Amino acid sequence: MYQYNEFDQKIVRQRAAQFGDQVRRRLSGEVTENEFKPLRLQNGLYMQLHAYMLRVAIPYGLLSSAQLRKLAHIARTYDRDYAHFTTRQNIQYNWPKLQDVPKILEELAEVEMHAIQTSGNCIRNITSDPFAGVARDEIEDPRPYCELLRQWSTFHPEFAYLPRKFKFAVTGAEEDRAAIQVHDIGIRLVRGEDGTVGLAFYVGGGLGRTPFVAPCIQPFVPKAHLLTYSEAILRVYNRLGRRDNMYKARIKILVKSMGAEAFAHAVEEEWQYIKDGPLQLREQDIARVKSYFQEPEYPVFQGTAPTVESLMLSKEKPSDPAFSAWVDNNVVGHRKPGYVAVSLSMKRETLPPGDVTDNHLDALADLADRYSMGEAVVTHRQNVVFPNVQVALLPPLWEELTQLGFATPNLQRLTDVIACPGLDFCNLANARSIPVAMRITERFQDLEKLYELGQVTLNISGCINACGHHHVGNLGVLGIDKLGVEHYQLMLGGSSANDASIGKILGKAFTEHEIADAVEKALLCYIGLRTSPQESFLATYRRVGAQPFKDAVYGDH
Amino acid sequence: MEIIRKATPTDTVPRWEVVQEDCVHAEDSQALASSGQVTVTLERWRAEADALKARGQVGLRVLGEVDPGDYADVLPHVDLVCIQFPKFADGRGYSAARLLRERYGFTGTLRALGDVLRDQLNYMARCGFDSFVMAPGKDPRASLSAFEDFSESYQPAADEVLPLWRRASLPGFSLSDFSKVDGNREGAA
Amino acid sequence: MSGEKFQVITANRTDDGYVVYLAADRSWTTSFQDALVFDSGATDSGESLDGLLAWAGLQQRDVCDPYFFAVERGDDGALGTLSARERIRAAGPEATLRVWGYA
Repeated sequence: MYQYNEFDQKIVRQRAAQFGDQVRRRLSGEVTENEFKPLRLQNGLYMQLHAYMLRVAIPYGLLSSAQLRKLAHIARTYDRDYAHFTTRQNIQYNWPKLQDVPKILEELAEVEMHAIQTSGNCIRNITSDPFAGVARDEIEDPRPYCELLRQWSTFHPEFAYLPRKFKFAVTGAEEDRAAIQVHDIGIRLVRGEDGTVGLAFYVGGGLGRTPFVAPCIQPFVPKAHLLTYSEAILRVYNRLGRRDNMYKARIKILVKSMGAEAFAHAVEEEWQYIKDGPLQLREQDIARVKSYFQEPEYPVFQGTAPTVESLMLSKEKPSDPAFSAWVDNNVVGHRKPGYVAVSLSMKRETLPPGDVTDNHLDALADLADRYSMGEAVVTHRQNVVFPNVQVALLPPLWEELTQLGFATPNLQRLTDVIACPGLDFCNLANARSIPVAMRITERFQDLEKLYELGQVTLNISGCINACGHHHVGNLGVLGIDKLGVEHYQLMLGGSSANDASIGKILGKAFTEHEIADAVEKALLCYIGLRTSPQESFLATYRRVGAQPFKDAVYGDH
Repeated sequence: MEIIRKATPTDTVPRWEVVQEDCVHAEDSQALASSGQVTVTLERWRAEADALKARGQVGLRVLGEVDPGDYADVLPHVDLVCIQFPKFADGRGYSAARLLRERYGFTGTLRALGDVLRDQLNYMARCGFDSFVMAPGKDPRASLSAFEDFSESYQPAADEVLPLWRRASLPGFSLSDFSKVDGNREGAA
Repeated sequence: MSGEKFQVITANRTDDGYVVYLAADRSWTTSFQDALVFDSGATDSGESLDGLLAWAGLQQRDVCDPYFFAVERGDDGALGTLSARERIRAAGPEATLRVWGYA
């Protein structure tokens, strides 16, 4: 993974020191809360319902075991022994004291981490495919481009006060696992007609109050222009984006109101001025960053490398059927023979989605060292991936994960719920998400029932800002406030994959006691309607439309 | 009025100072004194360009949202442009400043006015501002340390031609050798 | 001014962000039940909600973004909240507290 040089190191340390001074001025009364707010927000420090919340960036989701241990240490030392993986590959601490935050930033700097620009109207953490670097369907590893974007966007002096927050996602794979079409800028590595690899730019996607799937404004930008083209987009947005109404300030509104073509034209015009400038990447600039993401030295296998199939036929395979279910569900192919990528489910009925304890984090670090070459990746679905696991080590890994509770074979199944922190923590929320997620998870504990449903995603947000990505869940749940009482809307038909689509509200909202029933009715309706068990929930919904689901869910009301 | 400005405009790593300077930001209806530094709006400049050129000591005062292309023709006649930040969160003035420096080649004094706070100074300086009037009630002297918060920056901007990753690959480059790099920068521009 | 009969003033504490309520002695308490109650915008001793809210707004060092909200008062005098948000602010993040054992 990327290793900080002395300059990177200096920048994060100076940032910690700068924030130390800002906190000192706040605590001495020199700076008011109003003046402090934008400063703390640029360091990912929010004021939530019950306490401050510190959001730490995990660039493109990648963590070393040393970083995991540091995150555990911070949870233990400065917080209440747990933390929360977010839907944008960040991690959040829910109870830090203000005077401790500069110390936390110093500790993070020791392991090349920071909380820079994890909030505020600036360019946020760059997210990517959790299988980046090992995916079989990858044209090229997207992480070097993410890292270049990270460096370019860090303390970008022109773009620190954008009209609104700004999110990049980058994928190098054919299958979009990074939800790039619902980001402010989504970048896909693509192969041009002559075989060279370039970048397709999708601009103006997003969720929130007005969800949009991003149009592709430029299907092929040479890699050398990753940053010049991004800078041109950001400059057009900074100058023309609306600032009179925060609900209309995201770039998606600008793209929509100008029209994708006119917007692309404005970007093109700006780009002509800067494309040949110093932000243009030379071969060696890209090569230098790429060198940090070289493949690890995979051991060479004697004879043919073991495959998952050969393992399943061997006597090494544990007899417990749960092992097979886990392999089927949570293990995916790797581009290196003899290796697989393993998804650890952070979802189970007793835990809020994405929450981990200090002990969990330490255990993950230990397992990453022993099973995954010291690396782990957090996903936007709030799970953890071990990207480099030897096939032969699956049985012992499974046993250890089972003991930790991270081997639930529910990836991409209904109980692999995405949920934002909701009104239990969040100052913006209208309703709680966590209890609803836990209630639905409890309802569908029965694995056979779960598998009967096939692959289906359920995403829950506690408000219209959509941190829980409810618009792009096959089933989405949105918490709203009705005269002081939490209610939940059910929406169907969303997807964040290649065929991205925005879900539609099915009908009137439910109370927290009714919503799990409504979800179950919609799922039973699907089972009745599907042409075969191979037809997914989404495919069925798209084929038959909303009406049969409406009838099933609201029929006996 | 107290302003922050570069004490040593030619140094590659500038030092900053607070000085007293009189400058009248004239309303459009306000008669101008026969001498002394003033600034006027673009509208007034358009209406009275000849008289203002003849008077001299006239700077332009515009909101950050105004496209510098709209007043590029005025730049050869003024050596002071003031960009107003109605709210610190309105970041359009940063783009305007970079365009003035990098696209329109403005070399005069570029001053930030309005809701200018300590922790914006470094970003503003990087975008090309070399003079600041702090927001009412903010102590300019106490704000000077803002320029020392960071010694490195990744991106090129008005103050730096090359991105860090290109500077870092220059021969003989080391942290203690920044002046040499800045020297190279002149050539690269 | 609220149309509801009873109000209390709340904020988040600057040092740790914890939820606090204005008490009768102008200190800030983490106990909702110890909050100073305004009856139709005034306290028993005649201080106005608007006046104390303005005062609270000046306590920049100690608290952030004070505001008031409507409450109800049971027959036994106990305070109750009228919105989910204030109920959760007063009680803490229930689901998580149950899981992680924080009271």
